[in-house]
Amino acid sequence: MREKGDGFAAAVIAIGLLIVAPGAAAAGGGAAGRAKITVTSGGTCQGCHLGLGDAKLHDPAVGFNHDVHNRPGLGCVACHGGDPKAEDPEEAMSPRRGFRGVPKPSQIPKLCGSCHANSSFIKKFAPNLPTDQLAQYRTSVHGKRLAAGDTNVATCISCHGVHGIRAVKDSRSSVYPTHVVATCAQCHANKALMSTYGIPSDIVEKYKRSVHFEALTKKNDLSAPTCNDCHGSHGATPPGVSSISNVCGTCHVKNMDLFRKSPHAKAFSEIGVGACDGCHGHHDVTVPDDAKIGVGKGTFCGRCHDASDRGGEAASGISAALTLATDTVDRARTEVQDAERKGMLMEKAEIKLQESHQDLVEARTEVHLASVWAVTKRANGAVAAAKAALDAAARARKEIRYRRHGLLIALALILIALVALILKIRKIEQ
Amino acid sequence: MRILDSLYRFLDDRLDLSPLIEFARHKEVPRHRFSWAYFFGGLTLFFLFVQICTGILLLLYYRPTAEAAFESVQFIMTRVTFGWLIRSIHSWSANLMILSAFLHMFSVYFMKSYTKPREMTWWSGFVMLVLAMGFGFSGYLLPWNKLAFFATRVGTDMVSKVPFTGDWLLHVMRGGDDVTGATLTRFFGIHVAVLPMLLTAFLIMHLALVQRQGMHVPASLKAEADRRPAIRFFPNFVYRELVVWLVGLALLAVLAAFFPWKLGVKADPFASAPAGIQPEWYFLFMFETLKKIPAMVFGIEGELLGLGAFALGGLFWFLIPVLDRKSQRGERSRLFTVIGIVVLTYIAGTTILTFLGVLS
Repeated sequence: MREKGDGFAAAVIAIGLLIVAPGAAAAGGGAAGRAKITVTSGGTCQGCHLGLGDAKLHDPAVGFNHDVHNRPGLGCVACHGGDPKAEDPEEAMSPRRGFRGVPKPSQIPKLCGSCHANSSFIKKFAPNLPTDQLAQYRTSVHGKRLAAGDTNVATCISCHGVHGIRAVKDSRSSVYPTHVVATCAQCHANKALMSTYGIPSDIVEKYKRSVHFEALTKKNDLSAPTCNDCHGSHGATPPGVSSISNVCGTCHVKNMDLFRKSPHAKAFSEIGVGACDGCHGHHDVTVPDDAKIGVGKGTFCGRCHDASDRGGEAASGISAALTLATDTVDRARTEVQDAERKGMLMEKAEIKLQESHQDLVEARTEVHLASVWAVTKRANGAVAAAKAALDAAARARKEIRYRRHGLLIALALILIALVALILKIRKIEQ
Repeated sequence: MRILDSLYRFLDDRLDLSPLIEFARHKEVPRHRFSWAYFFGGLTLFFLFVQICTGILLLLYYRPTAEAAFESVQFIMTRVTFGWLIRSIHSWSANLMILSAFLHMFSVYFMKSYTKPREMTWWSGFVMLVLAMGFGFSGYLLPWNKLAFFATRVGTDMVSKVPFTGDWLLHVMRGGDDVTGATLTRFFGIHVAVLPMLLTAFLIMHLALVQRQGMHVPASLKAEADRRPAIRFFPNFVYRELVVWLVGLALLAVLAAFFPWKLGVKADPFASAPAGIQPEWYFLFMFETLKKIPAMVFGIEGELLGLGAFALGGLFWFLIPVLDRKSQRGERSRLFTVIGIVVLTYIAGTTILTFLGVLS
């Protein structure tokens, strides 16, 4: 454990490192590194390694400059041991001085945990940082396999990187929400590696087709789920069929509540189908489409129901209500936008359009209750609001016609005046 | 008619109108193949009249506060009878007035009409063009919509680059550190009081000089103007001018009816700046040039360098009557013709290419 004074000294050294590192790196060659060793937060380690030509030895020293651990002054010694004050490399990397060298994969979780699972130590640097990562990791599939001697599984550095680790909130971090899928894909899209565990390697590709990936990467919606939001981060594990609705329900609360009240909750459970993925799938969840409701070809409901059973009738009723509402709202939006393009102020119609959209979204949510009455009630609300917007658009069209008629009359009067003036000019100039 | 005769006699007895009538009766406008260029000044004046009339009508409902400005314009456009038309005509006419003023200025330039004794006419016209652009800049903010808000923030920010007094000028212009309701009130005051007062003074001077000195005929057109009979100012030229005004009015009516001026969304100072902020088209050539200059040029801030260059360019343009010695002597001045073509091509080219999306 460090003393307070040591931390301060190390911080001063870190600043010194940032100043001298580029120069030292540029100097190149082992001889230059040995000529004068500068003490930094990386101690003599960085001073020396920055001057080495071998990329394997040089690059970690460069990467550590922007490592999140560098800022509070945690040097190389924190993980590798040794003596960062010794000027002689042999002495600095001597086992007598506690040098550990490169930690083995099996040692990494414990090594990182020596600080990150120590709340009294971590709170000196980041009071809000959780300290249960190691405990969670040990419950994960990765942690369990590592404990069983499988060193191919992910450890801390597999996801967070090493010698250049950035804070999770840093958009350049490998575990920033938009980068998580690429990080997981390093292993989970590796067909050869995944085949040894009997895990499909196409899940990353499937996820990239999902509405969640689109929201995350195209709409920059950082609240959209990526791998760790459903599987957990340090305690990563696949959710079972029985708990999948809890996972999806974390965000889709209303849908989950309605589903649990629906007749499907019991039926799905009895046939062993997951609550949400039974219809929506899991990694490749696409935008739910009204066309998926009903009993026709390619519908969700049609997988279990046909037109003659009670469920099929309900599905057809729900489909009809949604189709009417969607068509009316779409028509209203088109007509309002057309009036806006022609320069009309349509702010009240816009409010009605928003109301209709909200009702339509809620009607689609009510589908999870599988109740024709509940869906139709909301869908009718959407139709009513859309009709109000359509009325406003019709009034706007009338106003546009009125303006254009007025313009025609004005232009006709101007034309008459022009002709009269031209005739007058001709007359007086004759 | 008897009433009009009586009214004329009443006024003549008191004001002695006969010299004015005589002046109008004998005033003539030269006739040559570029006589049409004489109409641009009058057309600009027509659009100014439209601006004054529609501006006064808008004043009846407009409220110059950050809380109410947008809503008051919205009210004008949706509730006030023909409010949409008045606002639309005001906005379109402002643009057409500046376009017409530019055409007038370049026609005067290429006909070298700024030579002695018309230097003061050029200078007063130059000042009026700057004032008209000031009208455009101050009026742009008044609807208090998102685009205007951020464009004004960018536009006023340029003032801060002025050496030594930049920050002070920025504060004076904005009425604070940022564009706020205080800026809106200032811009409103400038738009409806300060600029109209200045413009009226320069307009009177400009018109008086034009009437006193008559129309200029370029040396190259003198023979043609001497050969062809001149146009009597009243009523022949006035009728022709009326024809041009009516065409301008018809254009305004078509634009206002088919392309009503949009209001956009209300300004939100806490929102992030929208993409594609642009000033009005007549500032585009300056805006795009400043954008293209590197951040630092020879150790000098690029924007400052650009603004300095435009200030010097403006001064050069103002001093053209003094600098163009050849034209003053009645000789052909190819250099200044080429300069005029380069300036016109640059302004028109940059503006059109920006609209086409080639530059921005």
